Amino acid sequence: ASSNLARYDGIRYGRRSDIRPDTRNLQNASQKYANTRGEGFGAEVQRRILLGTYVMSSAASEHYFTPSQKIRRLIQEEFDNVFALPNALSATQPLALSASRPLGVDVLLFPTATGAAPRLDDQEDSRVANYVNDVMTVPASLAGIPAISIPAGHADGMPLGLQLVAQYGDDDLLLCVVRHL
Amino acid sequence: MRLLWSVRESARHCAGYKFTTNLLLHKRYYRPWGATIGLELHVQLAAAHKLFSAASAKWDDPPNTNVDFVDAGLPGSMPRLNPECVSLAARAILCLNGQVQPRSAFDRKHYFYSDQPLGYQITQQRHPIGRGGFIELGQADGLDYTKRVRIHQLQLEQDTAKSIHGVYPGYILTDLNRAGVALVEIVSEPDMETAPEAVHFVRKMQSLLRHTGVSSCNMEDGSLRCDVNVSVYRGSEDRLSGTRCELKNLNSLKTIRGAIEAEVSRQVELLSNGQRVKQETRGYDAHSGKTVLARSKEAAPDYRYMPEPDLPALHISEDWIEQIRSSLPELPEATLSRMTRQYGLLPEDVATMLGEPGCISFFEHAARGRDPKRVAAWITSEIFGQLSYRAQRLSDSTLTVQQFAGLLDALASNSITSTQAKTLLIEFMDGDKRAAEELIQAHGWKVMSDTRQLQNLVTQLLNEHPREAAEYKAGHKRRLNFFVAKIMAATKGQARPQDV
Repeated sequence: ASSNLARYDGIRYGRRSDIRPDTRNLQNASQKYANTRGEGFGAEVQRRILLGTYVMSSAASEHYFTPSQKIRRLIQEEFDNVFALPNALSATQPLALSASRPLGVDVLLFPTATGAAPRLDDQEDSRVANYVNDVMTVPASLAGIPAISIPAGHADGMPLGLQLVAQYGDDDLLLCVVRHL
Repeated sequence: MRLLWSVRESARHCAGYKFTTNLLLHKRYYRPWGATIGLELHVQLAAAHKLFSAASAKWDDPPNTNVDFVDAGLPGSMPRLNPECVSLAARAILCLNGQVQPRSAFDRKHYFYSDQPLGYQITQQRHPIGRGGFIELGQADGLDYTKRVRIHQLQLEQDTAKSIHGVYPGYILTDLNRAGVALVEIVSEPDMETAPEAVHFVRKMQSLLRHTGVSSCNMEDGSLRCDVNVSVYRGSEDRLSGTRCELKNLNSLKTIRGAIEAEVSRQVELLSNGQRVKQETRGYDAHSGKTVLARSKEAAPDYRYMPEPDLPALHISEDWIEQIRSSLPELPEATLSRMTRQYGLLPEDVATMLGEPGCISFFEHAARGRDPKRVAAWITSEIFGQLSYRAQRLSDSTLTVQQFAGLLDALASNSITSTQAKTLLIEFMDGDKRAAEELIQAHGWKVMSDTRQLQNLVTQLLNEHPREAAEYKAGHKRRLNFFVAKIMAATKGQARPQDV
């Protein structure tokens, strides 16, 4: 995030801070960026940018960034072991249907969140507890595979969500399954 | 140590510190200090479009007219590799004797500045497209010994936008035309030991890259930029033991030379006084002839390198590399040795002709069936003289090989004099499209070879100038020129000086 959001500086497009930095000192051009980005990004986004920047800094990157990329690869492999269809990205030969794993599945089904939708007035105090809610959707994002969330009834008047996840490239299958559900 | 001080003190009295540097580094003298020099060259590729977008890479269009979505960093825009840039990079690697890597990948190098629209530069720090290679410097390049400078790596990367300061006070103007243009960064090994070696290296690089069509490689228009890393070491120590400083913003060969010499002096002086050299980035002030601090090590940015997630790795096949290799033109070294052998020319003359694009083939056409040495002499003195006077390149000139050949033939068969030939040449280069024979006819020139007429003229002249005639007879051979000049004037250049 810290990398992809680096382009939002208000110079070429978008909102720009009105605060004029000290124009006598041109080396301080970065102050203009800081004002624009400070005003434009919400608190959560700023938190994530700071975290990302730290993780990629030369002091920390081999302790955090590189291992995290390796773990991501492991997550991809775990999914590959479960699905019937081989992963096109890691295949070195053209795929044949006969290459599908006999005991593999086509689609995975599991909840989208750890519970029903929370009410606005019962927010958790701890930020980390909020992040725990993401745990159901993060695996598909990290593995880069298609996922879709569908409404699945109610609990205590609040909606529930279920998600379907398929192998890389199998987006059409997901949409087809959902159409029939 | 005492010897070093006295040498330096006396040298300063002589001619300033430049003399000191040369004394310290010249290989023939006892060398207490040595310098270790490495270069990083940024070369703009001569591709029609940018590295990752379809925008035009032309450098002289009005500001902010050649900007694609990804060059401006618009949300959702993605980079897409331009194959022409990969070909040009491969050509560069091959002509430098390097290895084109079958697999290379792109990284992001992050920093905030007004000339960096994405907030990061896409480069190939860790998996470059080219590794290894070397440049041999020798007599033909202006060095009186041979030296091989190795290349560490060659990588593709994006150029930044152009930042213009000082037009409106308090504002930096940004022109995005240059943002995203393809560069190759060529990093040398720190093999160089003197400022002249570094300058010759850059010159040779320019010649090779221009020759293969990779880049126009001009420091003046920014298609070649050069940073230098310099450290010094005491004679007996390891070459790489010194702390190095980076010199940036060197925009001409003269500046490179001056900056290296100034920096070496500065470091030697610091270390001789028992101080340490701090790792810094410095610039060069040509007025004072000294390097100045630009940025200390603590203020150096952390670039947070990360693999570029929007671009897959670049896989290159052996076949493709071979295709590029076979499309390379004959390299200057090969041409030099071939032409000195084939035509018996001096290396310096071949080198001069090599420096002018198109000249070698011009020469080879003209030399068919004619005396090559005479052809070369005409090209390097007369034609080049005219080109320089007109500030033209050979490829811009209106002179054709046929015209030149006709001129040479007429001269060789004594139908015209050399003065008349020079006039012909000027007329050809002024734009006259007629063939040599036609022009000669049009002028109505004939060599005055009638000896009786000449003798009459000479006798007449001797009678008109008895004093000079007497001086000549008395032994002043120079007076002959006086008479020759008079005859040439009288015959309007139609007599040949030898006959007179």
